[in-house]
Amino acid sequence: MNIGEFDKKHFSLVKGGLTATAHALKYLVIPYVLFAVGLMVLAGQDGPQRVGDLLGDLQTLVLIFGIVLTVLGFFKGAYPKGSYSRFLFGITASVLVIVYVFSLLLDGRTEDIIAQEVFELDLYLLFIRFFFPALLAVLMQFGEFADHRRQFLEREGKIEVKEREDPKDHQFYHDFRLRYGSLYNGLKLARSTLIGFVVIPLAVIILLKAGFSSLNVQEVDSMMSNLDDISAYMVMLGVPMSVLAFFKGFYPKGSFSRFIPAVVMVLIALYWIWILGLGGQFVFDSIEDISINLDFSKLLILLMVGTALWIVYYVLELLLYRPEWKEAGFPSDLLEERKVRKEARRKAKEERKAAKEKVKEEKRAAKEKAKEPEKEASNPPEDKKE
Amino acid sequence: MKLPLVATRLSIVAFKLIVAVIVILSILSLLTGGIGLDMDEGDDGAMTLEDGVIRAQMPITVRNDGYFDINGLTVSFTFKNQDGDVLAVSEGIPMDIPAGEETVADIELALDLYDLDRQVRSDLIFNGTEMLFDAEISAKYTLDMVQLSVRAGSDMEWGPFISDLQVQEWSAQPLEEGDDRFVQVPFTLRAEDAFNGLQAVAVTEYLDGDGYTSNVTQSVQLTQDVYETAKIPLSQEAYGRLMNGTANATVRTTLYVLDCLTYDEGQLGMGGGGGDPIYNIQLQMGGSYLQNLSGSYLIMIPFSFQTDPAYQGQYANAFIEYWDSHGYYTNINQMVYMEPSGWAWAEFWIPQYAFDTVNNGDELIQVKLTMTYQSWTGINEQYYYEPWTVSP
Repeated sequence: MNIGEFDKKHFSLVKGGLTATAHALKYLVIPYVLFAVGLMVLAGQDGPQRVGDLLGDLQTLVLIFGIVLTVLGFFKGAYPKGSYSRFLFGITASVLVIVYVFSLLLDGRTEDIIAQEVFELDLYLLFIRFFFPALLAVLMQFGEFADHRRQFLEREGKIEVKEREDPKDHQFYHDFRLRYGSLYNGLKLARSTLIGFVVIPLAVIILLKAGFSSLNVQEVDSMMSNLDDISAYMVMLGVPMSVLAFFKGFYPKGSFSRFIPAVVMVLIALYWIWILGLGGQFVFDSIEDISINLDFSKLLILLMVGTALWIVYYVLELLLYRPEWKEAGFPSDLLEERKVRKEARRKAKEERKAAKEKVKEEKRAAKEKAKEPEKEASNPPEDKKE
Repeated sequence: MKLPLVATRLSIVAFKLIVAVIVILSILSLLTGGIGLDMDEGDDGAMTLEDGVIRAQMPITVRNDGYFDINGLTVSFTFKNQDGDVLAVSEGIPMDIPAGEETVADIELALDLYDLDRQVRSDLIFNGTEMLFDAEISAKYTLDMVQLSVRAGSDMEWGPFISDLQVQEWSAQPLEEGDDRFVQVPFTLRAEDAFNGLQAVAVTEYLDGDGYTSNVTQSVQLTQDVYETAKIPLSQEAYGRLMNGTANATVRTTLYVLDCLTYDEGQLGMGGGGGDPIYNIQLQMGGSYLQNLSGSYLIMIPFSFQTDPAYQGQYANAFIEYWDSHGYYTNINQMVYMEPSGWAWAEFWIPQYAFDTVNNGDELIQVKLTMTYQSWTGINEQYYYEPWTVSP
């Protein structure tokens, strides 16, 4: 490891402070306040002591892990992307987040108390659902490092600046070259897709099942079995969507390599909506001699039409961003590069504007120059008249 | 971001917002009780019969304080037999309930008896039957994008609409009009309100032991209590046999209603010499009634019999037993005077809970009459859906 990258010349207090604030809010302030509110509510309602003890212990954990994560966040944010220093603090923080969440289970005590007070809820099952996106968050640190390492070294002058690619030799299938991709963006989108399409729906299903089971009513059995089927579909559709989301995020806007997975994702999402919406038919016939049939397929189709508009969006995105991407020499879609391109575009615009102004100015000056002899001719000097 | 992309994103967001608003507005009115049904009290949906269709109408008030119209509100019924085979379908007329309005709608249950096969129809009219039926309420809401249908299955006891057809052969009377000879045989029956006014056909046949037959056909207007007399023409010979007690004659009254029939028959015993001291023992359940005598409760059940001339003027023992479907049992023992056409009343004093069971109850009761004269015993037993009602 290059110790020099921990040097304070790379250190930015402002950036570190911003990341530390974000970490503090996420891992310390919000959870701490939530538990404190819980304790206050409990005290107001004269709730059971064991819940109060649990909330107190959780608060202590939040305090310990929250402070450590805030400090780690500060150092991570303070060092530039692509540096070993940022990578080390970043990966430590993301691993610690997993340990943090796991420790909140308090070796099964949290689950036991929820079971005693509300209903039986498998928190370990929920933790497993959380674990996969958290693992992707760890990998995102590797991705960020890999993506920005070259720019970091270029800035440091340790390697030569990469030459721009000649757009003439570029064919559309070249869009799939790995060098155009951003691991960080890909992993980030894969993670958010996994959370949105798998983790949250499954967590809701786990909660619903736990709630239904606690009712101990036979009538909800068929509903529970429906939820099992939906869970299976959520995994079967959500995991391929996350894989596609990786490629969508990995490749830059304006590339076919982003467009194709994006469109396939929309198509899968349409099917996902259809499945989650039970095909627009809700049948409840568990109560003896009564069956309720709700047909909301038209409403569901309306929602799907709204979602299908994303295809139009990605077509437009390809058409609008492709010339720009080509012009920029097919760079990967990194935030810094986007900023540089934006800045370059702004400068070019300003230059064009300035050039235009200059031309206008010259034209005006030439016109005035041409008018002066005419004026002189029509208005002879007075002394001459006399 | 580029303008066309922003516009597309905004369109997507707008689309989803519209769907979300529609869903919220739909659910909101349901959750806040903006949509409801009120049954009009006091209208118990009396049944009528028209062109072979039994109809029961029930007005309901549909309140729609929601944001969308309710369209095509339909109530339909499917009748099935015990095996689940569809017997008849009653389709309601679709109604629209505009948003913000209250609409009184008639729910109509219509059972076309001609949709049923003859055996089922006959059972329904004369014996009563239990039919399964599915009631389905369906309506479209949220700009017709959501259709809700609720199906509820149940069973329902129907009929009998015509009951207690009884040939009163013990009251049969011979009749001579000039050279013409007749036998007049009364018969009785009861029809439910729905069948009131309906014209039925009654054919009464006479058949004696020598194979002589005769019949008379008459039109009968159905009412709650029908008492008709069939006047059957007889030949001189048949009349003579009847009068001297050698006819061994049977009378059968067949009632035809809506292409279905039922009958009752009896043995004519004019002229005496039959052997039994008492014959034609009949519980006259049609004449029974319930009484509330300021907190004391009484069931009156008449019974009739005929006495062989050789035994007339003496006394027989009548032992009458009574059961209701809830296990209540009582009996009474009384002496009856043996007249040619005897008629007596059995009086049962019953406790309040037994009274409550049968009052307005349409309960199935069992009555058994055992008449004894010396070593001779005659029994008549009946199961009867009592229609008794006592005003408080």
